[in-house]
Amino acid sequence: MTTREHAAAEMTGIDWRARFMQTGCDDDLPIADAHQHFFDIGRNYYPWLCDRPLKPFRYGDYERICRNFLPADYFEQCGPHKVLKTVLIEGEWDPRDPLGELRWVDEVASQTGFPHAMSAQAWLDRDDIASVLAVYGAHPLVKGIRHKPAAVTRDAYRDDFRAPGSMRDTKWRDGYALLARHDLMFELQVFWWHLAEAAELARDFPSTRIVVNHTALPSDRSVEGLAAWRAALERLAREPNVHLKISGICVPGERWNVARNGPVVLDAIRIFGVERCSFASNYPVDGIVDRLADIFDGFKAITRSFDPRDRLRLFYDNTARIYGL
Amino acid sequence: MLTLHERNGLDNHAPGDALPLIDAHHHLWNLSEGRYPWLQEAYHEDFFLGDYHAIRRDFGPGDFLRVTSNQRVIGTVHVEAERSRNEQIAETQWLHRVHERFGFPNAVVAHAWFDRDDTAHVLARHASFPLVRGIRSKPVTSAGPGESVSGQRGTMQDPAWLDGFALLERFDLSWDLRVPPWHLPEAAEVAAAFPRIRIALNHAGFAWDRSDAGLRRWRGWMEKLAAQPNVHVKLSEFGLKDEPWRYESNRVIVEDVVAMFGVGRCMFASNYPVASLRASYDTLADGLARMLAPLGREAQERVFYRNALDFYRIRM
Repeated sequence: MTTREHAAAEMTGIDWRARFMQTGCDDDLPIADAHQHFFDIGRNYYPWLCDRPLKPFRYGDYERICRNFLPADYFEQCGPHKVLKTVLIEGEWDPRDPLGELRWVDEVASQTGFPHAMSAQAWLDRDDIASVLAVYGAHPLVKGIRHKPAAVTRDAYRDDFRAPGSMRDTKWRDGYALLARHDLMFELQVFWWHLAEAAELARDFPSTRIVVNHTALPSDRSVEGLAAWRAALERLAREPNVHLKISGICVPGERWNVARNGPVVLDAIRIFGVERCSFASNYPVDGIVDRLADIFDGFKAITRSFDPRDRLRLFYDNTARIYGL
Repeated sequence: MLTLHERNGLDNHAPGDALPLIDAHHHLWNLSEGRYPWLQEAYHEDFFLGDYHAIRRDFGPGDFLRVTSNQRVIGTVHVEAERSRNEQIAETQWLHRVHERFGFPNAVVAHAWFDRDDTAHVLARHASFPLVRGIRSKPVTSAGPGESVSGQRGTMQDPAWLDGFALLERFDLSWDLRVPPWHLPEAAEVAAAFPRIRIALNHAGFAWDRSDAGLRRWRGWMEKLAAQPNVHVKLSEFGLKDEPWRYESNRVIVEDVVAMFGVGRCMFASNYPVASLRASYDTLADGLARMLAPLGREAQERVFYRNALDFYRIRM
């Protein structure tokens, strides 16, 4: 389906939820993709995609995604999956101009109907954060912001970790404190060993929702690594104002498979519960390793024995609820 | 400071000692790109300058460069041109594309309604563009001084209108004020209620009635505005409905405004192409320079570009 046909299909008023509840057919399951990106590298400057040499990345060489990725590309690649809505997360646009990505995405949305919501780039420890958040807070597309906090490798991490730009930095927290006033969520992308800091943040700012990106990045799939990841998630899940996006769990060198990712997905859902998890593609970034259709196929296979209403929650309802779609 | 003509590789015929100039109020329109109902559809018989058929055609950046070829224009401020209110954001987008290609306009005053449910959304969309500095929004006004609409929907007393107006402070946007002169005292009340919102009065407060009594009344209204330190004035559009542009008559207006507001709060503006119905660009710019000459070069420079640089925070 092209973007236009796709939007048309949605507008003709097919009630995919009702149809899915009736047929139980995987192809009818409506999806709201909670985490994706669009890029136009000819027109816009994304340092990590446009500059050479490429930067170190958890999936390795990412040359293959240094190209345009627009709604038409998304729908060409998503196979039979009924992705009705998407949430665009900032794509490391030129950090000198955080509002630039919003201007461009607003244009894409008005031309194609996608995305339906956005979490935008913000720098919580910059002096102009108040005026940037004022724009985001009042803009109909923007529901949250992402600022990847300063972090270190697991080896270097100590329990009393604190650095400029980290979740314990005073200036960074002063910016974070403004999110509640503008009713903006915080997209947290950080490795799981930093989640104790996130729990403090969640407690100290109870009216701001934290949306953990990419399952808190369980890259280390050793028995010990996964056990430590689970323990970190369990600790954070005690805070009620935290939501988990299940995405970004590709394993370089392997095609997306249930044997590898099934336990990770099921652990995440067990820990956060079916009301507080959302599936997401992380496309096109996860395209470094996997095909878009394979990712949704995988999530569907893992949850096939779930109650259909819980599948609706994980694939659509929870995302629609927290992003106000 | 490069002139617009230098930036575009064009000849410029300004004399060597010409004042650098920022046009603090002009319009551009491309009628095949956007929809401008007042220029393309129903003709307004009650237009404030009378017959305006002559401007119901494209006026693009090339036209602006042509009419200003005798002036040393270093920057401009575009004010919303009553493009279809369904195309408010599209107008802002288009002006940013014009800026990329021609190096001007250098600030954008966009349109938003203050009394709507989506006012905050529209302001946020405008504020996400780097050149947007202010909003022009005309409140509901009455047909004449003897008639009051005070408190009606969309007026300067409407609580919904005032709520939307208050948002300007959050987005750090100024307000371009354009009302018939008998509404200026009400505008002064708004200015007093929001001392941190900066206001640019358009067209010297429209001194339409040039009789002695008319001028006395206009002065009384203007003094109320001048008493509010957050109000600035554009020295522009002295055009009258049934009269030609007269230097002496307009000099009196300029002297009065400068006396009331001081040179620190006055800005040169052309209101082109609308003002072309009465005067050439050179008549406006050279005329004002001459009117201000007795105050000295420094005062001229403030009015011709320094005040606009500050008010609209123009980065050259």
